[in-house]
Amino acid sequence: MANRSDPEQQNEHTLLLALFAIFLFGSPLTLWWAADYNPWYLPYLLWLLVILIGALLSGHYRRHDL
Amino acid sequence: MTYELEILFGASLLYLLILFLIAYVTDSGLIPNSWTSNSFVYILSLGVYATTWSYYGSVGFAQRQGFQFLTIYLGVTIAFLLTPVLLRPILQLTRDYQLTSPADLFAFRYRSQLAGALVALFMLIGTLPYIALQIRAVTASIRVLTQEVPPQLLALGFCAMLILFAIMFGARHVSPRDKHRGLVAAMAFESLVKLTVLLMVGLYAVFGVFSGPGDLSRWLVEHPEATRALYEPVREGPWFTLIFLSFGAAFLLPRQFHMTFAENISLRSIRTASWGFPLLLLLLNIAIPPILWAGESLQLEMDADYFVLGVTLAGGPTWLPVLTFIGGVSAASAMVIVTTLALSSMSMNHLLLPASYPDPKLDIYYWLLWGRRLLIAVIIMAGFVFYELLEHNEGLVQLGLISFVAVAQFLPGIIGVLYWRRANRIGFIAGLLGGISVWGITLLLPVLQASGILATSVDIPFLLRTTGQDQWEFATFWSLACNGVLFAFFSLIIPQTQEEQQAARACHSGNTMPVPLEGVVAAGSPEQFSQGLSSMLGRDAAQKEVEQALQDLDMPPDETRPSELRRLRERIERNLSGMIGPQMAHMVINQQLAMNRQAKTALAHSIRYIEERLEESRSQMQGLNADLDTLRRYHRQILLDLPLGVCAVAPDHTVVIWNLAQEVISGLESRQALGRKLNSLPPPWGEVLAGFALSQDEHVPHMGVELEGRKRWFNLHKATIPDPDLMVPEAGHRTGLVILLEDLTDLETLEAELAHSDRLASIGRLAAGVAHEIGNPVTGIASLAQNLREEKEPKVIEESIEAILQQTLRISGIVQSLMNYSRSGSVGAEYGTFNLREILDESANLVRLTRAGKQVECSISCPEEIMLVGDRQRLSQVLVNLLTNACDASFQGGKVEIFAFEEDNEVHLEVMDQGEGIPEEIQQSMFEPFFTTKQAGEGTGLGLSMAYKIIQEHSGRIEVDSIAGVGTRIAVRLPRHADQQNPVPQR
Repeated sequence: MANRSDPEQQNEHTLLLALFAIFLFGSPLTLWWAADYNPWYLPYLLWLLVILIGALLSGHYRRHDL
Repeated sequence: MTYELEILFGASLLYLLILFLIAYVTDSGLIPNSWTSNSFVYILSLGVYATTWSYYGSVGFAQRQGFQFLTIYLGVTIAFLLTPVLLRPILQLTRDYQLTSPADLFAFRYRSQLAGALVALFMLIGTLPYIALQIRAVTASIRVLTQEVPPQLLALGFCAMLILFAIMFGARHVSPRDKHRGLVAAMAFESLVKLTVLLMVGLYAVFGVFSGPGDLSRWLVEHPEATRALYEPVREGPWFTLIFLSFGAAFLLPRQFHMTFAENISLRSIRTASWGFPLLLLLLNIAIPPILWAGESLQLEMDADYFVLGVTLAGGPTWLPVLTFIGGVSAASAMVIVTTLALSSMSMNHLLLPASYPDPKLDIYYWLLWGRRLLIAVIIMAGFVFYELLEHNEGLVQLGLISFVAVAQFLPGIIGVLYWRRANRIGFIAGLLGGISVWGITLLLPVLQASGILATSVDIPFLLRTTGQDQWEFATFWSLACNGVLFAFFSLIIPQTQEEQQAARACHSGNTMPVPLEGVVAAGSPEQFSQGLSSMLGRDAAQKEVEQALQDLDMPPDETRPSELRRLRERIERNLSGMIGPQMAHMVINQQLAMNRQAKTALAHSIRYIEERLEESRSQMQGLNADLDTLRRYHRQILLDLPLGVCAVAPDHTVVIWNLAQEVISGLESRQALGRKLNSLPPPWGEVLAGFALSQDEHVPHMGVELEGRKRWFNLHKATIPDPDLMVPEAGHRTGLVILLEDLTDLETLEAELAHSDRLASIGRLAAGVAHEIGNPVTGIASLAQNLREEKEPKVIEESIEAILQQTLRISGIVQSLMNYSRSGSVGAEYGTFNLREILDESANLVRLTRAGKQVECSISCPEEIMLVGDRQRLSQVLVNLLTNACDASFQGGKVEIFAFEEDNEVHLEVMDQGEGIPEEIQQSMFEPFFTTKQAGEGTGLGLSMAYKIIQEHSGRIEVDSIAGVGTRIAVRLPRHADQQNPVPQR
């Protein structure tokens, strides 16, 4: 029982990913990627990155049948 | 390029007919259910989020606010990434308690009809502008394509089609358990159309307006202000506020709640949607910047909100603008249909039903269904009226965002639903009223002023600008601040009611409603349930609901067990909750199926009930709860697998635990025994267990029970189970019991075989003496018979015959003793009353036949009148064993004395020899099986252990007292009347 259960771990990973997304899109970090000289599709790439991590996590926990 | 109004009308009519066809084909089962249950269909159906605001308005939003248009989707992405901790718990709650709307959810959590009504009302007010926006987008798009103002009849016709579709495919069932698969399939198709058309327009913009990605890049290098215009507002605008608003809208907008939770078919789909839906939104938005730039490069003279259409009109294929228009119709119709369905359900359950409950004489299903259909029509028409009043005054985005800020007012309430157990209804209602008031003043009022609906002298937008904050930031912050502070303040100072506490626990503890131990349902059978409910639901509906609940629980219609009836009551409440809302259902059930609160239900009664709920919510448990559940399962498994029969009963002797061993022993499956009274169990168990439960004895050894014509033997034990709720048991208060059954039958058979072996071994040892003893009279008989040949004297002949007969009797006596002794003992031979002196004499006679027995003098001192009750043969085996050992231990010419007397209701029997005594270390193990000090072949080592066992079975005891060089005394104590002290009389 000392080991954390998988749902708990899933929740932690989910929260970490959400924090990462907030850090990316809701913090002063926006000043970095929203600089004028960046390609126009950069926000879409960052958005896609967050979605891909979410998909990987979801696939991982699907295999563990949660 | 312009289009005829008829073409556009015909195209949109054709599109809506296709939509009808898809829904009809799905509902009629022509499309397999596995298709509509597919996660990707679910994800596409969630695309209802993207309305005309996304479809047309995003380009205009991007032109005015740059990449801020992405915030409306990034917030949704974050909400869906949080599926395991945010959306899935809500989905589980809505499924468990059949909650179909945010109003249901809040009314259930805060146990308040007023909370539900307020939510429904605010949703309605907050969403009407949004519905109006959709109608306006469609008419505006027609104006763009036809270059003329479309007649109002067209908008009305569009609304009529939507009413028809929503009624036909969205309001087919009353109960949420019946999903509207046709609606889901149609909404998925609409999303597919929107996505395909937007991507096509995007591709046309890149390859048709520009000459490919290279040309677009060149254009962007030549026009750096285009990229700058996208990025600049991100650094300066209300970026985070908009993300926050769309986070709330992702699951609280009525249409989103309806498609995400109420129409969800599979729990697994939401996991795929956690990334699949954000991906769909990304694809829907990827084309927005190229379309904007295409419109700018073409220098379109129109509102950027309609660049999606304008770009296709500037020289593309002629079918593309019509297709684009259809995409817009698709976005608008999906939003209006689903929003209206959600609002109609909320308005019915939380506004109309509490205000005017139908007469029970009416068919309630019919009433609800047609009431909902009427509301659908009323809501869409109200949207139309709003459209008429608001026309041309606000941008698409503005109207959408007003709705977003309105639904954000439910976020504090959601915190109470999922995370803050102490939140209460007063806090929720106060917060909501405060938040909505600020929203009304800061956002709704200016819209109404601008439309001329409301005339005030205060210029609110001007006042807002003086604060220096963006309008959305200001409204969002102050409405939510007011809401949150009131919510927290009242929740902290006002205590919760018991009902609120229970509902809060249900929302927080893995969706398991705590089991109240107080009260049993006053109605005593499903039939009485029907009768009780019929005064509110009508006779037929009441019967149907009870039957449905019985079927859900796999319960027989003649069920009368109180704990099962309570489960039935709760199931009916859940089913009704889906139909008439949780608070109305709660009220109907409380009124019509009252609980007898005085009757306290013991914890034991609730065990099955609690376990069932724990099983249901197992997958939701985390942390300490999950550990405790694992521990519970471990302990339960121990009970179930215990090789002893375990039967636990509640204070009223209702069986609550019946383990596997008990099933094997009794031949009764647990489902046959659980919930029944002990005395109603099939024979013989009803009598045996109920009798034992009522008796004063805590242990009954060796009880014989006739099972299928065969006698079986059990040790019975019981212990009381104090109710943990009663710290000090009340006098006369009955408690639960646990009864253990130990099956002795196999052991008894084995022991009987061992005892028989021991007797046979004794007989082997007796054989030489017996042969000698029989040999003497046989020799005498032979001599007498020889003499008789010659003898003529009648008197001598007569004497000889007499002597032969005497010798024969002597032989018969010896043979009879041996036969008596050696016959095979059966388990549980009949007990009887017999004379002690008789068996003492018989045993002594047998032992005298042995070689050792002949060498000692054996004397018996026993009153003739001592009678014993027990197994005569087994007790004589004890005596033979004790006497044989005494003789073996004695020196030649020694003396073995047997004393028997009665004292204090006990019969004392002592066998004393004058042998060399038994060393102390041997005394400790002399009663163990197979322990012997004799030479191999002289003893089996079973004699004394059998003697010990037999005396124990007769509730007696055996003691050894030995002094080296003096002799040994074996003392046996037996109850004088074994039948009065030993509860074996059933033998």
